[in-house]
Order: sequence, then structure tokens, then C-alpha cells
Amino acid sequence: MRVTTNSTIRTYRSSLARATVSQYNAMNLVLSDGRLFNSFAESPARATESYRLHSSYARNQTHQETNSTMISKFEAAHSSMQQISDQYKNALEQAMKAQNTPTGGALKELGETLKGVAESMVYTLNSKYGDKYVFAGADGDNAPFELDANGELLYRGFKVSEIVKANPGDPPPAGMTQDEFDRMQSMLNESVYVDIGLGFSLDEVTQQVIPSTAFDSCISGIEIMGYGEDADGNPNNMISIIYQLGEIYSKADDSGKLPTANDEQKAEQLYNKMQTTFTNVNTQWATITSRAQFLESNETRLVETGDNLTEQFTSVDKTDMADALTTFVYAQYSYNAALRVGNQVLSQSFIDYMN
Amino acid sequence: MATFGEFVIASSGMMSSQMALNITGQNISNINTAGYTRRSLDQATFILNGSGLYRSSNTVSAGAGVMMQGISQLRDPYLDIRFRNEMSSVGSTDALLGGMEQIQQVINDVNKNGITTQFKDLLNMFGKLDANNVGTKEFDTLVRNSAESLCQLLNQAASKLQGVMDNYETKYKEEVDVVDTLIQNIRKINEQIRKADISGDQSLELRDQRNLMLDELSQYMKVDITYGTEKLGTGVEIEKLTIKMVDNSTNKPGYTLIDGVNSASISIKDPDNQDFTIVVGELQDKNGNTVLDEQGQPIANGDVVDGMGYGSIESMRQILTGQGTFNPNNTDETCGIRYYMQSLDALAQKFAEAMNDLNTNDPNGNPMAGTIAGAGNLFAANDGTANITASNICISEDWRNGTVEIVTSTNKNSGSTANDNISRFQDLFNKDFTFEGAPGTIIYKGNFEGFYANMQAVLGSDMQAVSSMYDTYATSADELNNSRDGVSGVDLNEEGVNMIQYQKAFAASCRMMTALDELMDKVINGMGVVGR
Repeated sequence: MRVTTNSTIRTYRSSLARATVSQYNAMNLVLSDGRLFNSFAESPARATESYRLHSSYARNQTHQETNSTMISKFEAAHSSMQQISDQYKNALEQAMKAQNTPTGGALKELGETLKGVAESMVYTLNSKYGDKYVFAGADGDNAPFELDANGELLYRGFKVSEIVKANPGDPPPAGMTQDEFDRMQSMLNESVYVDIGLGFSLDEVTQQVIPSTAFDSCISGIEIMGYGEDADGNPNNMISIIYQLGEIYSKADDSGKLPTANDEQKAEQLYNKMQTTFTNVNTQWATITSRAQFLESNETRLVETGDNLTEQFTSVDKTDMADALTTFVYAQYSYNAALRVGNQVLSQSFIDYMN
Repeated sequence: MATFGEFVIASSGMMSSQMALNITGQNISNINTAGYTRRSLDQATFILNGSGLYRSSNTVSAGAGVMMQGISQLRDPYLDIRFRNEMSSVGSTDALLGGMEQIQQVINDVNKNGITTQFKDLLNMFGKLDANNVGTKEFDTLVRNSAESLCQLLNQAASKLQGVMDNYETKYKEEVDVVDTLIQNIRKINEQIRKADISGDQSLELRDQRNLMLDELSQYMKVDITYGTEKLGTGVEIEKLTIKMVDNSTNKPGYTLIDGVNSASISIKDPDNQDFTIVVGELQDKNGNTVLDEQGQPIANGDVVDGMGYGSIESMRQILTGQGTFNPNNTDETCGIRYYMQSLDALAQKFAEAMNDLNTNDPNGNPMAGTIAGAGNLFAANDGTANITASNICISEDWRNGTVEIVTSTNKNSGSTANDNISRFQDLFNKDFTFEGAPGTIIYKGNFEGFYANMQAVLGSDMQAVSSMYDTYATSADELNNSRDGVSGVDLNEEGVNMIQYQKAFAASCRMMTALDELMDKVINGMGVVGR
């Protein structure tokens, strides 16, 4: 094969250009902290994998944020429940004192105190996290509990003692419109599902969240404190019980006697019910605690997943810095070698040696 | 041979050596002239006497010196053909790569913020809204702002793609003009070579120039070049160059671009109506008169239909018009600018439709307007049309002015912070949608982000494949160019050696002249003077 001056120069030029490009790319690899690609074209397979990992990571970060918010909300709920527990103990103490037939106007005072405790409980359960009421179920923008002028406890506008869970198709109770009844049933069955990375998905037909794939962040005040009435016509709600007990004791005369025997019987029933109902409140509190614990363990899992994803996309997106530096040193070596060879080969020809 | 014949021998040696030295000088001085083909002197022995009836059998002839028959250009036509074929592939892949690189400047979110990150941001905003902020105005605004940014990014991408389209269209028109001019210039140079041929001139420079033009033309389109003969009458034949465009579907010569001194013009069919088909016109002479074949018919040229063309012009056309799977005829496989424009439109439309549907209809498909506060379309087209595209997508005026809000719950009996509809919105970002191309074809099945990533992956894979092909073709073309240079190129070592060789030959002929002079001196001045 005949090799000419210009083909030698051309081949050298393109080889030198390749060595320069290699060195430039190796330099960029080091300067970009070992980043292996900046477009899909540079590495379609890596870029596709990277996209999936980054996408999962972005969702993981959102899940972590949501989870963290939920932890805070449940911590707030837990704290309120602690307060409720203290208030109950206070109420129980007062009620026990009342049971021990205090003399003078003490019973009346105890009655007022109990009413005050019930009112405090309402304030406690109307606590907020952020600007949303914690115990309002799915109606976080409005204070859930209210004691009206008659001492009737209301939850989201409904008299707590009249709230009743109906079976599908049941007619509304007397004095309640269908719309009100529907709203009440909706309230008793509501959930507020949030996506905290449990495989969040919706039922294709109903388009409702599949419960096992999400976290129900709904905290219903009446589920905790109770609602409706028992067969004796006594309220199931702790606040109502305490308030009604307070009201009965408030009716006592200065000698500590209640107006009627029925009041005494009612007081006895309510006192007993107060204690049994607190068991339910305690159970609900435990549920809140366990949900908070679940959120905490989920946070650990999410953080681990996030770290894992970071590790994965880093290994896909970037090369090890030692590798990047080795590549650069090798590219530099090739470039220098190309320069040296060029200088020696290109300058000489037969003409240089002619006399 | 006569007495002084030997001087002619020496003289011819001197002349031919000098001419060979001249050619060496010409070769050296043109070593860097583009398209220059190295030359060599054709020499032959000169014999004056021949055989004859009365020729003495005892006559011995040494010859009459050296004769210069002509100057040759050293070229290998086969290497030319191979090189030009390879160059059409280089031109084709180079143009495809160039177009795709421009598209990539718009459709690339790797390691930067863009449409992909904005989808993530919007989902994140829904997450923030969902996490204890349902019904809070500020968070609804955050979602709206994020959605607005997404619209703007889609608008920008569509606008930039349109910019790429416009620039590429201008470039395509310019390139077609360049090719047309090139064809006309080759025709003109053919005319000059023809005149030179008739007058017996070798016209080596013109041929070099023409070869350069043929090399250039081969990048634009795959051509078949043949060197035939043209009979001028009285037994005289001269060279005739014919160039045909190779029909890539059959790989055989198709439309005639140049036939000797006649040529066809090439043009774009109807660029104003986005028809970028190349049209090869009738073969015409230099005065613009249609050339007829032996049957009196015009030479059949026409449209370069799909699959027929190959080379950079065809690749540019494909980048301009390639709809990929959006092509209703399903014949166009190249994903050009239009494919990405239509993909982007499909993404914007699907996204807007899905979001609007969630904010206007409940899960049973019943309209929520009138029963649920804030229900209504979130997205609209900013040009007032019903068809939402990437270039016109915007958040609706009602959402902007607060008449419409993100519907948080589809249940009219639900509480103020019920979030069942937010869940539907969140699910939308993970939901698989079917993105269709031409009727009956599916481009992608997956979520919005995935579709955009798929667009990038399609482009990236195409670019990688074309880039690999380009490297292969370019390397092969380089090798062929070196092989061609091995035949036609000037080498300084060789020319240096030639210089010495011809210089010594010249010196030897001069010495011969001196020897002859001495010999003649003896004959003229030394003979017949014995005894004086």
C-alpha cells in the first residue's frame, strides 16, 4: 500500500483529534464529579434506568414529607389525648368526691367543676395542627366540637347523642332531613387517605383509594370520645357524660342533696359509665399511638428506601472518582504520546536529507 | 541514423527529464491543492526506422531517443465509486445526527430541570396539599403555580421545536439550492471538458475540479457515475459523463441528473404547503430546452418518493417530515421534528384532558358543576380553540381567577378537608395511559413522566444508532480516502526521489551531449589530418 504524505498527515490529524476529544471527555468526567452522561443519546440504557430511579426518588421524597407531616399531626393528637387523659382523671377525682356525699355547697361546686372539665375537654379536642383541627375527621377547617347554650354537645353540627350509625337504606330518624342524614352517615364512614409509599392505588371501578395501599389520616373526635346513647338514655360520649354529671351535681342544694331520687340514680349511672367509657377512650388513644408508631417505622423505611435509591442512581449516573481520574490520566498519556509521535514523524521526509 | 542523430537522442533525454522534473515540481507545489491528482509523464522509446522490403538485414538501430506521449493523472475509478458511495452514507447519517442533535437541545431533561422535573414538582405539590393542607388556599395556589410552570415548559418546548423546524426548513431549502447549483456547475464543467477534448487538450485541472464536485455531490445524494463516449462523427469519440440518482429502494440508477452537457434541475415540490418532496426536473440543455430521447420523449424524471432517496438531502427531508408512528400511512419510520411535536402535543392533550376530567366529573362520570364548589376545567387552550396542544396549553381563566379550584372531594356530603379527589389527582401521575400514534398504533403505555422519558429514549436510541453508523461510515470513508490518496495523492518522499532520478537523468543526457561533442570534434577536426 502506498502511503502518502497527506494521508499520513490526515490520519495523524484525526488520531490527534480523537486523543484530544478523549482527553476533553475525561477532563469533563472529572470536573462533573464523575457524571457519565448528560443526555439519553450518550447512554440510552443508563439514562432510562436513571430516569426510573430519579422518579422513584422524587416520589419517595414526597412520601417522606407527607409521612413527616402525618407524624406531627399524630404527635399533636397524642399530646391532646394525654391532656384528655389528665382531664378525665381530674373529672374522675371530682366525681369520686361527689360520690362521697360532700356536705354544704361542695357538691354543687363539684358539679360546676365537672362542667368546667367537660368544657376544657372540648377545647382540647378542638386543638389544631397547622391550621387544621386534628379531631375533626375530614372537616379540618371547622372546629369539630361545640357545647351549645343548653349544654348539648355538638360534633360538626350534629347533636352527639343523636348520632347513630345506620345500615344502608335505613330511613332518617324523625326530625332529620335526608340530606342531614346522608351527611351524618358520610361523616361516620369517612377516611382521609394519604400516600406515604405503601403502593398507593385506586380501585379502577370506584376510583376510591384501596385502603391497604394508603394511610388513613382521619382522626374522628366522636370515634374516640363516643357518640349516641345507651339503652338507659345516657350519652356514650365522655364529654357529655361528664357534663351531664356536672349538671346533675350542680342542681344539688346547699345540704348536698340532689332534687330527686332519679337524679341520684342518673348520677350513679353516669359515674359508672364515665369509668367504662374511658376504657374505650383509652383504646382509641392506643390506636392513635400505634398509628403514630407505624408512621415512625414507615419513616425509617422511607429514609432507607431513599438512601438506597440515592445510592442506586449515583452508581448509574456517576462513575467512581478514582476511575474518572484513572481515565483522565490515561487519556492525557495517550494525548502526550500522540503529540510526541506527530512531532517526530511529520517533520521528516526524504527531501530533508537531500544534498 | 545520421551523424547528428545522436544529438537528438541526448536532446530528447534532456527534454523529457526536464519535463518530468517540471511535473515533479507541479506535484510538489500542488500537494495541498484540494482534489489535485498526482501526475506522471508518459514516456516511450522513439524509433525512426521501421521494417521494409528493401531494408538491409544488417542495419542495426539503437532508437531515436525518448518520446513524451502525454501526462497521466493517476486515479482508480473503482476507489472513486466506493468512496462516493460511502460518502453518501456519511452525508446521510451526518444530516440525521445534525437534525437529532437540534431536537435533543429541546427534548432533553437529563441532569437539568425541565418537563420531567415539573411533573414531579406538580405531584409533590399535590402531596403537600394532601398532607393536612386540603382546602388551604395557599396550597391550591402552589398546585396552580406548578401547573402553570408545566404549561409554560410545554409551550417553550413546542415553540423551540417549531424554531428548529423553521431553521431546518430554511437550511433544507438552501442545501437543495446548493445541490442544484452543483449539478449545473458539473454540467458547465462537462461542457468545458468536452470542448477541450475536441481540441485534444487533456484538461487535467478541469477533471480534478469535476472530481471534487462529484465527491461533494455524493454526500448530498447517492449517485451513479458513468463515463461513456459521445460520437462526434468521422470516427471521433470523446468522453461523456452521466450522473444518475440511485434509487435507494432498488439500489439501481434512477433519475438522470446529468447527461454530458445536459442536466436536470432539482427543487422542492411545494414548501409553502409543507410538501418537501424533492423533484428532479426534465433533462435540459444549457439553453433550457427539454432534451428528448431517441423516441422523442423527455427523459423520465420526477418526484423522489419515500424510500427512493439517500444522502444528506433525503436525511434532512426525513428530519423535517418524519412523523414516525404518527404517520397515517405507516410508511415513514424516521422520527423527525414532527414526531416530537406531535408527541409533545399528545402529552399536553392527554394531561389536560385527564386533569380536566378529574375536576369536572365524579368517579361515575357525572358532571360535578353545580353540586361541587370549584368544579370546572383546570386547563384550556390559550388561542381559544377546543384542541389543546403543547403550544397552546395554559391554565384556564376560571382557575386563574379562582372560580375553579382543585376539587378536593367529589362527595357533596363530605367534610371540608376530605381528599378523595386529591387521591385521584395523585393517582393520575402513576396511572398508565395509552398514547396513540396513527390510528391503530400505540406509541407508549405508561404515565406522563414516562411518556416524556420515552420520547427522550426514542431520540437517544436513534441518535446512538445513527452515531454508531456515522462512525463506521466515516472511518470507512477515511480509509477509502487514504486508499484513494495512495493512488492519486502526492508523496514528498517519492517526489524527492523522483527529483533526484530525473535530475540525474538530465545530467546524464547532458554528459551524453558532451561525449557526442567530443566524438564529433574528433570526426570533424581530427579525421583526415594524418601526416600534416
